[in-house]
Amino acid sequence: MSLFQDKQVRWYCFFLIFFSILLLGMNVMCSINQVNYAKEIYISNNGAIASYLLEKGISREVVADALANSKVSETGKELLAMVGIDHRAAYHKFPYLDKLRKSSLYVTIPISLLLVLVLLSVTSLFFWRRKQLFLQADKVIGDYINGDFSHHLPQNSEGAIYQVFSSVERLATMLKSKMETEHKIKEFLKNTISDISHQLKTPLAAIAMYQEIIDAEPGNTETVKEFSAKIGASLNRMEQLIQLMLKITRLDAGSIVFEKRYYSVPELISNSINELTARARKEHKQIIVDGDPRQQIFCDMEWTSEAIGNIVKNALDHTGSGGVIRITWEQTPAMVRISVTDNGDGIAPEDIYHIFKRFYRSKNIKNMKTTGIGLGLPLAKSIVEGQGGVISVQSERHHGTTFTLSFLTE
Amino acid sequence: MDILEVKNLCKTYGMGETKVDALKDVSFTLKKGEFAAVVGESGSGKSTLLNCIGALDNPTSGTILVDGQNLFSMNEEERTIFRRRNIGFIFQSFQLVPELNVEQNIIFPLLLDYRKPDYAAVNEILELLGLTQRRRHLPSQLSGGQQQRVAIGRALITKPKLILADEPTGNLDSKNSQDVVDLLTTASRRYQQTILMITHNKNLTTSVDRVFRVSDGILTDLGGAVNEALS
Repeated sequence: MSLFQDKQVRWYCFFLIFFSILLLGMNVMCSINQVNYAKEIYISNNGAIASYLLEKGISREVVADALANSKVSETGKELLAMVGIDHRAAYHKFPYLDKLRKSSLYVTIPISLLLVLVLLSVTSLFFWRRKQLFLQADKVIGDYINGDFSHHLPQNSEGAIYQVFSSVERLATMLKSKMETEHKIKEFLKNTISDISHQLKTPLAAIAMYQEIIDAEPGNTETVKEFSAKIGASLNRMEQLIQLMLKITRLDAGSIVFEKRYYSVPELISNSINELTARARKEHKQIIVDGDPRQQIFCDMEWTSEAIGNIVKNALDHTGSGGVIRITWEQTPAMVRISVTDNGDGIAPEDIYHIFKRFYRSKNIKNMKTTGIGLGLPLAKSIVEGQGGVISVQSERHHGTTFTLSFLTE
Repeated sequence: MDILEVKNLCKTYGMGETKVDALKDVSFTLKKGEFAAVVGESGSGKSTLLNCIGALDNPTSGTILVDGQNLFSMNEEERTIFRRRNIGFIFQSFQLVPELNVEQNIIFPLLLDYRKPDYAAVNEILELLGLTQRRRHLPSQLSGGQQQRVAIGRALITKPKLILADEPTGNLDSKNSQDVVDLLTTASRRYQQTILMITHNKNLTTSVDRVFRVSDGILTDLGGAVNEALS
């Protein structure tokens, strides 16, 4: 029984069982004793009556019959009442009974008192030890409340209360890590805000400058055309950034509900790279899509397309002219894996653990013409993980990079 | 927050001439929610490291703290209970109970600790591991990869502070291996679960947060920063 898991409870229960047996034994002993005494009284009382009757010359047969008689008649009762032997008579009128009463009281009272004392003291010891345990726990929990996690609850014993302690321990661990992430979130928000303002300020400053130039030479059509095109590009960049930021924020806030359905993978891929094929052609890069056309995938079409699109965009950013980007997929026992492989520069080992961080820009990128903001890959990661998938990356310097998106099939 | 703290851990087998240093002054920490892989050749000491952390083997010197508690200052009974409630194990050979179905195998550790299983949590884990449709199957009706996924579920159900995975993909082909590692990654992110996995296959470490290499008993940190829970 699970009640006996707890060591202290188990010992207390053992004590109760032992005590009950003791109590029972003592009752049996007392009643045996009393029955014996009653027998003695009966024998001596009858003996006294028989002796007296024989002395008075009553025949032996009559006395024997009288002793064997079990019928009680009214006249008999009346006679007894007359000599003062009935229920109203006091104990001291019966010398034998008086002796019995005294002896049984003298024996049972001290024994009962002793038993009660044992019961009370063991019970209070049990409760006292439980209380010590609770006080100890209370002190530790109090420390937890005050942010001191250096002491731990006793949780390494069997029993319900230790299970509670172990749950409290888990709660404390969660609280501690929450407190630490809270600090990190503040730091993160501070950095994010400074990153965003930096990212917005740069095109804004450019736009202001271009506008000044146009303002200075309103008659020069060439200049106006050139700089208004530049303004357009900067505005475009700002819009892109804001769009990405909004998407990431919505994902963070958990306000996105992924509408997962079965789609064919080629359909998903063509939806993802729809807007990128023109850019690839312009930059003389090739996007090769290759895999089983009947493969199904369970995901949210729109968001997953966004994720794959961002990864392909990233691949386009980091391959030179003539680069090849291969999109392949395969079914494994539990998952569908979509891989995007490029033959670009690859990722430096010191960068590889940071590429999914927001606004992370590698110090190793030489050609700064790459237009990445540092949000595409983080967004892809949020989208894939939000749907219970995994995104991983493998890269070899100067040979290329493979991003793999894995989705559960069931 | 440090879930696992290993300080100056040494393990020596044998005496005098035949003395072998399996671990030499190994120190590292794992934060909550980190998924770390230990790679190394067989015989490099990585299994000894895992056995010491799981308190299945006594280190010669050094300390191991799991959530600030020293496993080796406890007596055997306390250590057993601590291990049951705080450390999950995943083995190379799955170690499922053949008479129990998938769902029963997953809730098994709770029953060992006399707890009632929370079926919402069980369903969530089954869904996470893609086992919902196989919940009533016996281990003998499952493939190796599926069996290992059940073993992952069994390690996750108690929400332990630390999961130790000893070559979880050792008996699996490459596709199933990648599945198992990807599912461990998902679980680590979803439940902020700290996992330490041993593997000899470096290709499987692409999605983990940190990679350590053990070579001749010496541990080196191959990089990977703190898990970016926010990104």
